[in-house]
Amino acid sequence: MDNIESLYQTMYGSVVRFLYRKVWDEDRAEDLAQEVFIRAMAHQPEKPRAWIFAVAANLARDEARAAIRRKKHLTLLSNDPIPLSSPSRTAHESVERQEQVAQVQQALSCLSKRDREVLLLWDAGLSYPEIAGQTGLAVGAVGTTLARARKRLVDAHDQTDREEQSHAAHS
Amino acid sequence: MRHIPDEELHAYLDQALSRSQCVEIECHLADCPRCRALRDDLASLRDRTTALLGLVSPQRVTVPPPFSALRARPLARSRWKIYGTYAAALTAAVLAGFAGHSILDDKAMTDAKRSVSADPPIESLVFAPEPVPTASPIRTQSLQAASPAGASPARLADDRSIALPGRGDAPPLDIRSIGSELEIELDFGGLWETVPWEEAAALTENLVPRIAGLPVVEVRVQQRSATERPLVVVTQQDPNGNLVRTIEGPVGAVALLVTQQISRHGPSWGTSEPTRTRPEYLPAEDGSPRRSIRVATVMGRLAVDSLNLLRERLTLR
Repeated sequence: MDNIESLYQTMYGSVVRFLYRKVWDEDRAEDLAQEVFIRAMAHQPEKPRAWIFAVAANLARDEARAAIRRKKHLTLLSNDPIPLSSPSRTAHESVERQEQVAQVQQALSCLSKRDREVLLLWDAGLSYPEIAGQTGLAVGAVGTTLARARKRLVDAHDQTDREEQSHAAHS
Repeated sequence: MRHIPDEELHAYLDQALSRSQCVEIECHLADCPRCRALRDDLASLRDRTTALLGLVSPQRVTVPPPFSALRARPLARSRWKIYGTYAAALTAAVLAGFAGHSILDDKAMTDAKRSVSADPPIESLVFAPEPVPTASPIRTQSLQAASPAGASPARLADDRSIALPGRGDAPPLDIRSIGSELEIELDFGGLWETVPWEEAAALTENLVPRIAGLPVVEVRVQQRSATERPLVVVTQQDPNGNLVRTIEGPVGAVALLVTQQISRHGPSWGTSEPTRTRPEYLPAEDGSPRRSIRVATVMGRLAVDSLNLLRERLTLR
């Protein structure tokens, strides 16, 4: 059994990143990540890596439901402070980055739920068997799903990019 | 010649294949320019995916809090962190209130019942276009003094036709009160200071919570430490004369205060769902910044739905 503390040190960033891409709120992602590890300490799962991401996915789902119910997700985002550790950027760079982020978010939203989940789990560092265990896919199907998800993400992003450029050229 | 399928090359690039499978693929790649080209394309696709996902990552450096701090926290608290801590305290307090109500029929309870029956229980009010804010100057006299123990609660306003502000095309709000008489004891524990609005604004870095359009009766602050924003209680008055209190501060302190208030005033005191306000970054022992989560909640002798609607009108100056 992996030691939860060592997993906490090595996986915390991955879990926050995984959660952030679901809740789009850094503070909330960190809150949820800490909760995941507290639960892991209490539960002591046999396969902690996969378990941690399974719980994280569930918490993110609950969070999304709550956010919809309260209709305040955007408010939270807009009220967030400027991160302490973020490098100072010029206004132009900042706007450019926001546009890039929005494009990737848009591209991610074009993926099916399963494709997106598999892609995010892979990016969080889970192995194929771990992804399979969490998503219910056969291990052999993980590669197929990942191949499709990667292609769709890049295609959707490129299409959004083209549309943006076309829109900019017309205006 | 059998070419390598895409998904197998993806798995190869992801190092998800066994050693023997890798050897097999590498032997094939050595002899097949088409599969080599495909591998290069897929490697490029993989890199682009990673780069795109990298764009939607948290912006600040993610540093895990000390594990010991995590370990010290009991599960129940962690599960209810933020909203949950608050909800648990609230539930316990409400239950205590019910218990107190059923066991004790003391004078306070009798007074409370009498005050509830003295007025029509439900009144509605409609948010109208934005009025002139009445936040400053505020009244700074102690409300405790205005309602001495044993005296019947004072009524601060009899005019029920006062219009509340709207926000653009927001729908009218129907605010329902549970009890109509004022309970104007401010019996918060700790060292509280009644301050003018401008001073409160300075102390809180312009983050004094206020429900738009309701006159501000009093602002109290409790400075918990020199480095953090104070705990703030802003008391406002609705057109029916009910006092509505907005409490803003660190989540733990707000939960405690809400629990105390409900324990003292009984279950007729409603509380809105909390809403997060701007967190603070306080220096920890090791010098790294520690984030302190802050929330605001609205309390009053109003239905919870009404308090939630009022909470939606909260502005932080």
